Amino acid sequence: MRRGSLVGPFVLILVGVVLLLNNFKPELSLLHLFFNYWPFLLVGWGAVRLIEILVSAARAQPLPRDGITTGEWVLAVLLCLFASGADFARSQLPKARITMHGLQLFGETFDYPLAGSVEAGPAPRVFIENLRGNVRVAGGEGSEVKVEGRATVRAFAKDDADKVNAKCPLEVVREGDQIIVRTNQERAGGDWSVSADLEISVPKGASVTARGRYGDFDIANLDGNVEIASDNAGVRITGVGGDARIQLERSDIIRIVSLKGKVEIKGRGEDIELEDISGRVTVKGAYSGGLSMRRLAGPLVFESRRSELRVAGIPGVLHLDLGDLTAENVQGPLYFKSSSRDVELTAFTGPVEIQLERGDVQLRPAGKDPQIQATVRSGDIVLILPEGADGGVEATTQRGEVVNEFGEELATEDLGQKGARLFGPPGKPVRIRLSTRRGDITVRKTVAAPEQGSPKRLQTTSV
Amino acid sequence: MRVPLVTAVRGPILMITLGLLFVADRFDAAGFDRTWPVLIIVFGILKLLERLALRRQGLGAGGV
Amino acid sequence: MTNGEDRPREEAAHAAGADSQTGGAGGAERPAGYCRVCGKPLSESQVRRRHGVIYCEAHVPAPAPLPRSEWDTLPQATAGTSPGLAFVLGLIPGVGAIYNGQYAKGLIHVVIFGLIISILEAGAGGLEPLFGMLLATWVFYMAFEAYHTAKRRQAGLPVDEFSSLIPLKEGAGSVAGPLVLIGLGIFFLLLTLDVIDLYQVVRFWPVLLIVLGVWMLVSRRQPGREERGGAS
Repeated sequence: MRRGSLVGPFVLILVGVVLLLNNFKPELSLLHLFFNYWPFLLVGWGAVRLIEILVSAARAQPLPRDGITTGEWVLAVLLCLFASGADFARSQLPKARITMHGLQLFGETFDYPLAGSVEAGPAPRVFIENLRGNVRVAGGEGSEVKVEGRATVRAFAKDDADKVNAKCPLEVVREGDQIIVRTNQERAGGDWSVSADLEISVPKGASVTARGRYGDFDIANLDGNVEIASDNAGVRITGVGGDARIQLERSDIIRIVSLKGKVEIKGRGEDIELEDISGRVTVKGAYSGGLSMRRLAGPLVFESRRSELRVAGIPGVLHLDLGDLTAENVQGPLYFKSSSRDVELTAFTGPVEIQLERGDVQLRPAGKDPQIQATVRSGDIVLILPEGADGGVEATTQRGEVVNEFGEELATEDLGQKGARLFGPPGKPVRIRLSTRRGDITVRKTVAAPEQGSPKRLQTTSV
Repeated sequence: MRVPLVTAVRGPILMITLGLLFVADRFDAAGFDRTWPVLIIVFGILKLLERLALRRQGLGAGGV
Repeated sequence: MTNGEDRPREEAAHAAGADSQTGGAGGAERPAGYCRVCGKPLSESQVRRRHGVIYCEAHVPAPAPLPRSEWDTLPQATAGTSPGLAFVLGLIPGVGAIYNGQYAKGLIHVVIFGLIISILEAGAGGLEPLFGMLLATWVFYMAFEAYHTAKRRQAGLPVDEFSSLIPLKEGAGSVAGPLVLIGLGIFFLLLTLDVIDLYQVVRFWPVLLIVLGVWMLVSRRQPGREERGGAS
């Protein structure tokens, strides 16, 4: 008869006991411990089993073929899925009510009203700390900071909820020139599920710094700066006179409209939408949705693992998502380097430099003096030049065709094994360099009436 | 066939590896989505050692 | 008395038999036959015939089964195992294996299915067609594996937890398998750690064909333990 290991059933019992105790005494933070250190459970399990087997070997006893039985593997895999899934779910579930941090899957929610206010000056610095819950800040007339809201506690019995709520009072106090608004949720201890939604009105001249773990921030109408740091938040900012600095581990949306200062965004998230920003915009991190920029006066700098984008100004609109960079009416210098994206730039001015591993490029510069350098490893390039553009073109492809639909000023040359080349007009200094290793290059002329005629119909006489 | 030590120990070693990978993931050293091939490598090494051990025991068989 | 000894042995045996058996043929009446097994004399009403042989009631063998007609279906060796049903259920991830009682394998099937879907969801780096086809292949693999496992069970053959259509033999033998595994693992690790880029590497895929050809050449030129170096 095969002697099974004791470790497997032991793990099962341990997990059961932890979860059970958590339902009765969440303040012991057993669950917190569990979710933080569960991989060590696996390591310990394997190590104990390993020692058991080594001891068997030392005693010259027959060794089992299955160090870890099938059933035990099933348990281990389920444990991994459950624990890492809980981590994952914590950040993906809708932020409103359910928080998996405390595994309070049952019980009821109990709400408690919150209110507080304090006199502030015309331009105070407001510091908000609300671990879980949504916060809305609005600047207005008056010189006080007023907080209204609701705390929500999830518990099995009202008495428990009352006790927990009593531990987490809302604090609205003044310390020097700082106004502090705090919901003290960490005082609940353990794995209690406490969250608070706040509506805060502040004097218009205020600056706001907000910290949280889980919950949206909605800031409107301030002359000062805004600073937000959270583990998981959606951020909406409108009408701010100062700078915005946002640091989020995860987010679904960051939307800033009408801000007069600089914007600095770091972290990870999905979508970013910026409109009417006067200052410099810097975005660093990984954003799985897309960037959408409209009317940015200042330079934009975007850095992620895959790509780098610098634009001097965006009077028009620019979209950057997983597959494309599309922009219309942007000001160079523009520099874009990426691994795999299609690029389409329309009506741009100023020098442009593009480097891609893979992707198709379509460029339609405005103005008479485009300066372009586009280097692509694999992809097609289409250049649409206005008639009479200054500057010469030098375009090469190592495997592909060159198509001259522009006119007689440009010429093509077949380089045999080395590919093909398109160049001209002779005598002009080269201002446009296009190169692809695999792909076609087409140069076309913009015509006033778009759908007309064959490519070589026009006799160009321009300089 | 006497079960070689390598075979018996394969399960626990894989489990320890799995646990360590998740430790690295949990403490943000290297995400599991990047480190999972380590499991394949460790499994391959253990299987290799097992084949060698069985050869030394004098058994032979075909098969991949 | 010599009288008894002179009687022919048969009659003496029969007489003895008639005396010792209950319900014998009776004294004066001549028996219609004698049981082949116990020798009991039988009256006409007690005779049982099978294939031209006479037996008594107690020893008559059961009637022979009718010769099987082609239209009959074979009875199931293990009740409740239907390979056809296994195939259909196998199209649902995990359910095929569960039907065959291989629960751990079912879980693995589900996990792999989920992984492929997750990879497709995360954009597969432009390799969506490959993973899409892999998904379809996997679904049919699950179904066929369930089917074949069910057939083996039906035939009464033992089936272990991780039976698979791909033969994975234990024992010594070529180290090629584990080496391939290690190589594959290192390859994936380099990929996920961004040391190499998929696009750079994908260009080299014909190398696999070359390696396969070389390996086949090498293994044919060396006489194996079971093979003799025969025609290539």
